[in-house]
Amino acid sequence: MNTMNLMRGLRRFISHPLFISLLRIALGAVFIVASIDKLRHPQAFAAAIANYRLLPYTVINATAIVLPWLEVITGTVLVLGVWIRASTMIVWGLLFVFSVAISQALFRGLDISCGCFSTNPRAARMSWWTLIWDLIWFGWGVLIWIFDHGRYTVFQFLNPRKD
Amino acid sequence: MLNGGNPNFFCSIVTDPSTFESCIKALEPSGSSEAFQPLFLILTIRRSSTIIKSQKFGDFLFVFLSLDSQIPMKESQKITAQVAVLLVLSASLAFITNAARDDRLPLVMPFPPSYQCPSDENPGSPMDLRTALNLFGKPGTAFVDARKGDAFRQGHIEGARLLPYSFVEPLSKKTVDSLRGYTYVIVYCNSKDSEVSKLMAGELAQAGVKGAFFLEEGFTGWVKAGGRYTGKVPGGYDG
Repeated sequence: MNTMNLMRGLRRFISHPLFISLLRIALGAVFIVASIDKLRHPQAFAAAIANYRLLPYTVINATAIVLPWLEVITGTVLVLGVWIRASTMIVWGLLFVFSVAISQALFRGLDISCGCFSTNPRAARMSWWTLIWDLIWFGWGVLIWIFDHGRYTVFQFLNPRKD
Repeated sequence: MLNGGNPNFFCSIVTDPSTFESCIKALEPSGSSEAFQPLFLILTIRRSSTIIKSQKFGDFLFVFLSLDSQIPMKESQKITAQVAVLLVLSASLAFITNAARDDRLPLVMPFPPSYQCPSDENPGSPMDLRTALNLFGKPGTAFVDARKGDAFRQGHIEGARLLPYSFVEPLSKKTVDSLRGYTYVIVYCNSKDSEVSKLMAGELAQAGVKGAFFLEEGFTGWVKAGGRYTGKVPGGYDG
């Protein structure tokens, strides 16, 4: 019974509009911050992608060009609370791809930096924690998908009477 | 039989365009609705006077133009359309801004960048022809052919080991270990300053193979300089 109460309390806390909105804004901010260095240094980001040894080099540049923009737009949309489910789906997709790339690099023993937030090849090396963080953010996405019903969005700030 | 003879006929078809065409033909007034029976499957196609529109596509356009408008639409369709819009918008902005910047990236990388590792190991170093010729046949020296098997079988430096190098595949531990015992490991490809041999020598050095070099002049230069080889002369050899 206590467990049930605990679960109910946890659910009530997680599903609280303010909490879930903060989670959404934080997840969006993660993606925006992650994109900044990539947008500034596309060449270095292309090298970071190449280090994963996953993609044929003919598509590496196109990926390095598009990916940061996808991150920044998805992150912005998520922060603003516009098209929440669509942006959450893209976040899932990105995190899934990142997780696969990181996992294969770790299993193959590639001694590389993640390239997640910094394109500097001498930045912190990739570790299992990199993957765990990706999975945590994936989990945030799940919570946002389930519990975020569009409270505390830019629309509400622009037109508060509608609520 | 479904909706036979009804002008607002709904025909659901599979995604195959030929099936779609046959469905349109079958929708002619004289057509028998039995002909449509196998087509009632997935996608709903709505018939108007002259144009047959895909409802999905119409909805997609509607969403694209009216954003979050209150149109009745299945949630999944709406989300799919929004995802598509975000993807297209991101890709468009990405390519436009890339084209506008001074340090723009070419859409296709001409060659992979060198493997960048956070460790401070030395990258592979170049070796000139004269040094390589002097080291040939001496104990502790290994020549490594980084080309594909076909090129190797056509001709290679005498005694060289075939270790085809693929950018996307890191060198195996077994390969690296087998080269650790040598004082000089000289990697070569066909042509002068080959990126492949540079990358491979660099990766060997990063992996801890001391004395990993790449042959500056490649196999072609080796043959020109009178180095010993097996098989045919390499492509591009004019001497």
